[in-house]
Amino acid sequence: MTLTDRKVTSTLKGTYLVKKTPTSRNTKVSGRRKNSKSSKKTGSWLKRLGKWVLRGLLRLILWTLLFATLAGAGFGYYLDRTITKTFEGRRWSVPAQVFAQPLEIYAGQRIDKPQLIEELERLGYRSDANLTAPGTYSASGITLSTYLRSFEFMEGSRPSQQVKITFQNAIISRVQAKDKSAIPLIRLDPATIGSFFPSHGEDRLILTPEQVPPLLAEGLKAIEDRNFDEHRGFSVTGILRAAWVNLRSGTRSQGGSTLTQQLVKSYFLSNERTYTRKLREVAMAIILELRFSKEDLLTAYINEIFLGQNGARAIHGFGLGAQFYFNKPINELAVHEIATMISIIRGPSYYNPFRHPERALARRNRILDTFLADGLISNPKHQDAIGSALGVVASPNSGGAYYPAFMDIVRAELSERYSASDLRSQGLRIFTTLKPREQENAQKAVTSTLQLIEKERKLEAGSLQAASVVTDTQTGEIIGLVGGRRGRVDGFNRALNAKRTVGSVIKPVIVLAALESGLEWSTLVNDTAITMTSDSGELWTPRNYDGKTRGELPMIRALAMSLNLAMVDLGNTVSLGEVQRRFTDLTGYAPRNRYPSFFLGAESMSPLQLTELYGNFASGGFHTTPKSVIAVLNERGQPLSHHPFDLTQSIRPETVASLNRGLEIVMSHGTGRSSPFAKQGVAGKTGTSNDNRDSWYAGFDNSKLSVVWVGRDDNKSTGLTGTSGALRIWNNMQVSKGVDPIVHSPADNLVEIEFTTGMRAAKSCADVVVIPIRQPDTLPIKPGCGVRKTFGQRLRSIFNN
Amino acid sequence: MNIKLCISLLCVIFIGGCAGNQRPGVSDSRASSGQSSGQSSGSSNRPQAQPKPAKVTPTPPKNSAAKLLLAQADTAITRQAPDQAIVLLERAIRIDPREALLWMRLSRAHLMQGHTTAASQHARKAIALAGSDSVKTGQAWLQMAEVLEAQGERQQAASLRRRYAPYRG
Repeated sequence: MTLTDRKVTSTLKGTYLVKKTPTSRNTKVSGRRKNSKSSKKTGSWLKRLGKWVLRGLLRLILWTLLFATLAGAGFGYYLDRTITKTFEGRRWSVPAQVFAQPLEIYAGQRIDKPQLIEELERLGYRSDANLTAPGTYSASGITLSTYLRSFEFMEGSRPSQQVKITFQNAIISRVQAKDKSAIPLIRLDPATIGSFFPSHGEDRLILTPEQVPPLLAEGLKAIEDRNFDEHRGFSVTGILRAAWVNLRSGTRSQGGSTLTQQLVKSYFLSNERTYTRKLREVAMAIILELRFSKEDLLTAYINEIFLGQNGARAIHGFGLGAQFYFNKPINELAVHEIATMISIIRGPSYYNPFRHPERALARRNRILDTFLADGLISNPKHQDAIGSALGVVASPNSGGAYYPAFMDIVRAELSERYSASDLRSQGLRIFTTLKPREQENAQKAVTSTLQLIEKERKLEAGSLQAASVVTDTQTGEIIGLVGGRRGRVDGFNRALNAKRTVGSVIKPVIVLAALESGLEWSTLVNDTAITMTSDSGELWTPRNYDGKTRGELPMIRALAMSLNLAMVDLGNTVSLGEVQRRFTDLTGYAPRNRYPSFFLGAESMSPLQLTELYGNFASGGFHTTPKSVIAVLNERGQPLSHHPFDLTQSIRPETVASLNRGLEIVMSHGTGRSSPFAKQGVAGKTGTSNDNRDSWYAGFDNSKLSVVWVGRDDNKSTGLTGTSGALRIWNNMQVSKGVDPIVHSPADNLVEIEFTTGMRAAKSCADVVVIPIRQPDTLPIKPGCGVRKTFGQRLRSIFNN
Repeated sequence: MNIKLCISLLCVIFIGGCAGNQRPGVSDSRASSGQSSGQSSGSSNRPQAQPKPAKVTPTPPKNSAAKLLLAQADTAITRQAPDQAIVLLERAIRIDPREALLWMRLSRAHLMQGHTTAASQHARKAIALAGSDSVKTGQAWLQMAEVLEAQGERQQAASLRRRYAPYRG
């Protein structure tokens, strides 16, 4: 039987059958021959089977290869698209930068030399007798010279320039340029007070390739990737070296990554150490190298790399890193500071210069040695750098200006016009109203006073909390905002969000309504026990703080001594509806409490809301919503929005002038009299809620309005009144600069009245206060004071007689 | 009875004459010194009595920085650039917030932009801050007249212009 005699067929089961075909040959054959033929048949069958399998395998491999090529191309395309898109997107995703109000420098400005130095150092300026570069200052005698950095302001850019400032009696007397010409007005660059980083916490200041110091670029290559300029994204030798180390150690501790691979890892991949991830990393690095220039990649790395954690905020990139660790812009970093920054990359936690200064210093010095060996720095520079201390700021956030509580109100204000995404990615430049000096002063007063009170009263340390808002009296702009006793720490913002019972600080609203209804400061009110019944039949029996009653007394005394019963009587005279209507006019919202207890401040408000209320008084009768933003520019410096002054007249000038005189008397004769500034021309009101849970003070001088709250987060009693708590903080806020006394317009209706009785009197015979009275003729005269009757009184007495 | 009445009336006239303008007022040591007594401090926002003629150039800001910024803002206003003027004037006000002239000019810049509400409120602020300075008060009222004119209140505007005509700068 030949091969042609047979047909190989397959069955469905996959077995093979041999079909016999008719043949002319003799079928009688010997057994041997039969056997030989049979083995031949089996061999060819196997051969055919082998060939068939081989062909099948070949086909399978070809198909697999084809499929793999297609899949690889697709994956490559996908990777390319993803990487390019993400890289481009991330490269230009810049959080908005927020700036404080710049300090204006001009002849006549009230600031002394130490204060100006403090301002400059807050901006990261350093002392340098030769003023060798921008960001330096030099103080000598009564002068201070500084080399200002350039800055792009809202109105245009100001180039860097040298300025000489002369002081006389804590006032700037002269400002000159380097060529001795007079400078009428110049601003310091504003402090950067924060940025709006995304929810994943990455904050950064983007640098352009031109802004990257050459030593940083070259130093990075020398330390992190020597072949950066030559390789195409990965280094075979680097990977082999890492693999060898891993093999020997039995761990996967080394990666052998190039800068491009590190960039890929930071952008797209997790921190897991697997060979699969490594392969993806290499593929992505190759794509990045094909798509972008070396300069682009190095700049992206410099802007991207993680350099430390500060609470919820992740410090990314050398631009922000320089500010965070050294409080200065990147271009002002010294050699040893650049080396320190590079040393952190390897392990931002392990080499954290705040927590492990020795470790960071040792690595920094090794890096400096490499700089020298590679010829990046000269020998003297190396010696100088090795001899320098780390030079980082005292602690995270201690350098520069970082005010999270104020940032909360900026965020809230901007949320009306800008999306969160715009704030996090569009590189906006936000100019705000904050004055860092006022902010620091308020925070310091809050922290130190609370510590002192706790110590004096033997309270648990840290049990008290406080908040404060400071605004400009005329513009309503917020110049300081304290959200709690610990500044520079993100957390619950009590100034904006803690709505607490305000107590007696609300009483000026009753007095305002009374003055507007025609009542006088001398009008007698009843400080006697009273019980009122609400519509639901509930009884309310208010009491004075000391439990006493004083009978009839003038309105001014009722306010100054904050007498509850007298104020309820006055409120009832004016009517609750009228008082609440005025409250709504002045604050922009209706009170929640619709009962007479509102007269005594049974109404919850935040310190910011109370600031809005008192802004009406401090501004001379204009309502403004306290604001924090001046303008927003896009990343090219073009204005996007300007937030102008927005005010509405809310109280007649003569009425608010009269009310403010009353509030001055509260300070000089009433509950504020313990303040060392009580008789220096300040107006204000204290407040205490039930069981001493909340201590309030709201007060102002000619230029600043401050509201202070003290209490506990668990709303338990503090044992403090407005005077013993919040007012003390306010006092400490004023210590450093003193107060700016209120300047009154001349008034022709001021009358001396006795504080206790409201009768016309004289200093010689009574404790008098000077206050506007519209109808002085109606006032009774205190006998024995030698006060002459007015013409009207004489006329009236004639007719009466 | 008639004689008693006559004597009483004579006494009234006599006492009144002696009393003159005496009021039970007291001096205020911290009151700002006005340039003229034409307007009392507590003047409300309603036009007061006809003031006596005075110089038409208001006292410039005492603060040299504010003065410089005001001059720059005036230039911007002349160049029909109210946006720029507002930025400059707000900066000046942050330096010298109680200077009525700055608020007056801010009102003018807002009026140029067609923001009559802001212009009106800033004019009111200028009036409130002008205090006893009759020139500044007069000019602030004239600025208010401009705002009223723009708001269609022509009669009121004309009335104010007549009243404060001597202060037109």
